[in-house]
Amino acid sequence: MDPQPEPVSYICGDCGAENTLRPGDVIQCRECGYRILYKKRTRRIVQYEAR
Amino acid sequence: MALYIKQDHITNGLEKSIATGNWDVKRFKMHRKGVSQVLSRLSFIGALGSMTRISPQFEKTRKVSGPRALQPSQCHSLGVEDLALLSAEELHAPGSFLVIFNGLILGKHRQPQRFASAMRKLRRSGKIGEFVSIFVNEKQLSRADTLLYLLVYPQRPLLTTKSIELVGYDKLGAGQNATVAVMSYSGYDIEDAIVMNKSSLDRGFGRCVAMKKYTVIKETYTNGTSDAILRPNKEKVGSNMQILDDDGIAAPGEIVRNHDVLVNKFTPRNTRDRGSRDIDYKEAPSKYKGPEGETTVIDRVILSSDTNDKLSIKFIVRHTRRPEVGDKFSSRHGQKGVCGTIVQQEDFPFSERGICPDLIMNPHGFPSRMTVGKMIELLGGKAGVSCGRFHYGSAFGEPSGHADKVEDISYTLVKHGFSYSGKDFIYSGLRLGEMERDCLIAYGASMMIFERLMLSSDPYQVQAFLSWNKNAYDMPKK
Repeated sequence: MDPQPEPVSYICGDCGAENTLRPGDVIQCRECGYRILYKKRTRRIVQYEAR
Repeated sequence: MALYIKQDHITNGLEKSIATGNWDVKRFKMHRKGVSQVLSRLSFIGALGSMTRISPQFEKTRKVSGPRALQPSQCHSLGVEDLALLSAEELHAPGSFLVIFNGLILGKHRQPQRFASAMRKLRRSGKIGEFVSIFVNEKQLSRADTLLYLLVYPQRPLLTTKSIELVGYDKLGAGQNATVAVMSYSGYDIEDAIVMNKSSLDRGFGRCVAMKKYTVIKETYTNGTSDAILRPNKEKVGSNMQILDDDGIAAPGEIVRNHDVLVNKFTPRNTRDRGSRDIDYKEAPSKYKGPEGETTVIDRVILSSDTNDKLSIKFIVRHTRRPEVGDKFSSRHGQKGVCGTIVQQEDFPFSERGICPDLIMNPHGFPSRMTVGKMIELLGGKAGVSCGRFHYGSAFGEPSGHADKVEDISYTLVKHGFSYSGKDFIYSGLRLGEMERDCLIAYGASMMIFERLMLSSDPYQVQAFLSWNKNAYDMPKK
């Protein structure tokens, strides 16, 4: 396996707190214990076609 | 005793029949389909209609009884539903939230979140049964539907009716107002086909957003192994892993094309017996499958665990679509048709005021179908845009109500310089060739021929230089 990947942060679906998860972690918010997390929007530059 | 009886036999049976909608009792040879159905939530009206749906008793004789004929057995129960809607009308005030219990409206509340948490406290203290679920109804966009269609610019109809007010269609529109020319054009409009204006489509007419859900589950296996989601190897060429983050999951906002990897997943080779410590993995990337050349965007990515405590990753993928040839469009009168061709606005007919229609509909759709309501809508819509008022499209204008009679609509049209019948002069760039000339001669429309062949082609204007009796352009240049 690769060396430990960098943790990516997620947003809690209830309280909106930012969470960092490592592979194998339980999907749960550290602040409120909510079990649905959302991925943050990409930081890469994207160009959409608006036709 | 309990060892010999399957504990969840009844539960499983019920779950199965609710999931499939089939009701099978083998002992009585009873097989019924569609006892339960998934509520369609594609639109507000669609959901309402789905709830009022009932199946007729004579399913096999459907051909004989006529699928389009009225089924008297349905009238009664539909009437009951209407009554419930009537009382709901006044409850749809802005800023008020309905309190619904088992589908019945109990009342309304201003702060739904506070109300819900208060109710949950009551449940916690045991005053409400533990199996009563309390939730604030989410909106379509925060929900993760398998498929969701949204119209990009919904509009309020120019012509309203009583039933439209009742269901709140004027507040939550599901259509667009189009400038329609009812005329024959180009031959791509036969059999109810529609000719559409390309510039209108560029301006956003008929555009929609389709949201689709893709679920990826990180599977766990009986021998204790599980799938792995790893950081992508970005150096690998042609792996379609550009949109992945460091966690091996695609991020919202990224553009997805066919065969792009959504999750960089690995599956253990041995999922059966407990082997050595080192687990041998093989590549099992979850790829997005869609039409070639189509670009969609990831709208949301949800991480949660499913009922078996497995990690499930849900992707809501958004695709904006503009109308194309073959798409089906419909008016509110069930006059549906397929888009036959898309024509440049330059080649489109225009009125003497320079107004270009959004679409052209073939007039042959009218006589046999007798959609009087649509003809009234065409009149009322035109009068509505002319005078800036929402007309009322009921066929019966009574003196007490505010419904408009066709006569009143006609007066409005005349006041704004249109024909009382709603007809308009349309200029089109179609050629008047030799054959067409023959037709006009045969018909005896001599003034038409004169206008087309003489006035519209021969005369021209020049600057004349009177004293030298010559045209201006023959003058020698200084």
